[in-house]
Amino acid sequence: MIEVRDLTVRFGGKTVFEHSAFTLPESGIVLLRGASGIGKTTLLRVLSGLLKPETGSVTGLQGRKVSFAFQEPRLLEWMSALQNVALVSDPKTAESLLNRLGLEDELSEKAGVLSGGQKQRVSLARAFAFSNDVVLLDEPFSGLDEENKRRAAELIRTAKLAVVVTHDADDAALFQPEANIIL
Amino acid sequence: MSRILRKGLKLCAPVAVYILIWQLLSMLVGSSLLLPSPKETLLALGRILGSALGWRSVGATLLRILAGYSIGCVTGVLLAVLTARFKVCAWLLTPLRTLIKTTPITSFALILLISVVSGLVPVAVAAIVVVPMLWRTTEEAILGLDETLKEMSKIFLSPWKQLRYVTLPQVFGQVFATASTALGFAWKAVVTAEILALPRFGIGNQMYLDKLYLEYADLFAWTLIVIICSVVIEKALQRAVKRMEKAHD
Repeated sequence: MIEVRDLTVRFGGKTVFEHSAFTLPESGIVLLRGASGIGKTTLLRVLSGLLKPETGSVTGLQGRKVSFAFQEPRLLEWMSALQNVALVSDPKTAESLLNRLGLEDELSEKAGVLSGGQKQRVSLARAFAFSNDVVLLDEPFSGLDEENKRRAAELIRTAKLAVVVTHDADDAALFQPEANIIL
Repeated sequence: MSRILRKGLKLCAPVAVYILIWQLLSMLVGSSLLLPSPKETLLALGRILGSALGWRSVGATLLRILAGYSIGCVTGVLLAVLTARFKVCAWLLTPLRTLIKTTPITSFALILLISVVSGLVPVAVAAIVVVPMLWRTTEEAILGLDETLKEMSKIFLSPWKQLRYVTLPQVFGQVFATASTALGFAWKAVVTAEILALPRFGIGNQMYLDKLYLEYADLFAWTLIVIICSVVIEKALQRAVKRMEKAHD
C-alpha cells in the first residue's frame, strides 16, 4: 500500500491539507476527483516529490520510478515531438508510444507548432516512455477528442499504478478504478 | 540581376556614399594633415599591411582581445550563475558589478598600469568591460527560466540533461546577443587601453605614435583596420553560433 500520512500543505494563508491521510493501492488505476482548487494537483505533486509538505510523509513509493503527465504539456517547444519523448527514453520506445497515440505524422514537427491536444498526447507519451511503474496524470484528457481519449485511456491502463486526476464524470467512466479518492 | 550581385550592391552602395562624402570633405578642408583623403588612407593602409610591424601590431591586439574577451565572458557567466543561484552571492557581489560598470575604462587602465605589465593592461581592461555585460544578461536569463519546465525536468532528466536541453537553449539567445555586443566594446577597450599603456606592439600603440608624429593618414588607416577586424570577427562569431544552433537542431 502507498500511504500518505499527516499531510499538511499551506500556500500563503490558504490551507490545502491539514493533517490529512490517504491510502492508495500498489497497482491499478486510482481516480482522484474533487472540485477545482481542492488540492488534487497538490496531492500529485506531493506524491511525485516535487512538493515538500509542511508535515507528513509518503511511504510505499521507495524504489519505484514515478512519472508525471502535467496538466499543461510542458514540452520543450524548440524540439520535435519525437525528441521530446526520446529525451527520457530510447528513440524506438518514443516512436512507438507516439504512434500508439496517433501522432505518427507529427513525429518530426516542432512541439511549438502542435495543437493543444497533440501536445497533451506528446506529454502523455513522454510520461509513459519514462516509466509505467507509477504514473501520475493530471487531467490527461483535456483537449482530446473522443478517439484520442480512447487511445489515451488504453495506454493509461498499461501502467502498473496510474493516479488519474479528472473532474469529468465521462472521463472517469473510461476506467474501472481500483480506488476512487474524492477530495 | 543575380541575387549575389544585388546583395553585393546593397552592401557596398552605402559604403560608397560615405567614401564619397569623405572625399568631398577632404577636398573642402584641403589639408591632409587635418583630414586625409580616402586615397591617402588606402595608401597608408597598404604601407601598414606591407610591413612586419603592421602585422605584429594587429596580431598583438587580436590576441589581447581574444584573451580579454574570453576571460570576461567566462567570468561574467560564472558570476551570473553564482548571483542567480545564491542570495548571499547576489548580496555580496552586486555592488561590485555596479562599481565595475560605472568606473571609466581609463581609470582601470591607469590603476592597473601601476602593478601590471603594460601588455596585459588591455587584456584586463577588456575583461573588465565584458564581465558586467555578460554577468547581468546571464543572471537575468537564469532568473527568467521557465519554472514549469524546471519542474518537469526534475522529474524526467538528469542534472546534465537539464542543463544541456532545458537551461542552455533558454538562456543561449539572450546571452549570445549580449556577447556579440560585448565584442565591439572589447575592441574599443583594448585599443583605448593600448593607447594609455603603450605596450611594445599593438594597434593602440601605433595610433598613439601616428597622432604624435601627425601621421593622420596612418591614424585613419589603423582606424579602418580596427573597424574591418571588428566586423569580420563579429560576423565569424555569429556564423559559428548559427552553425552550433543548426547542429543542435
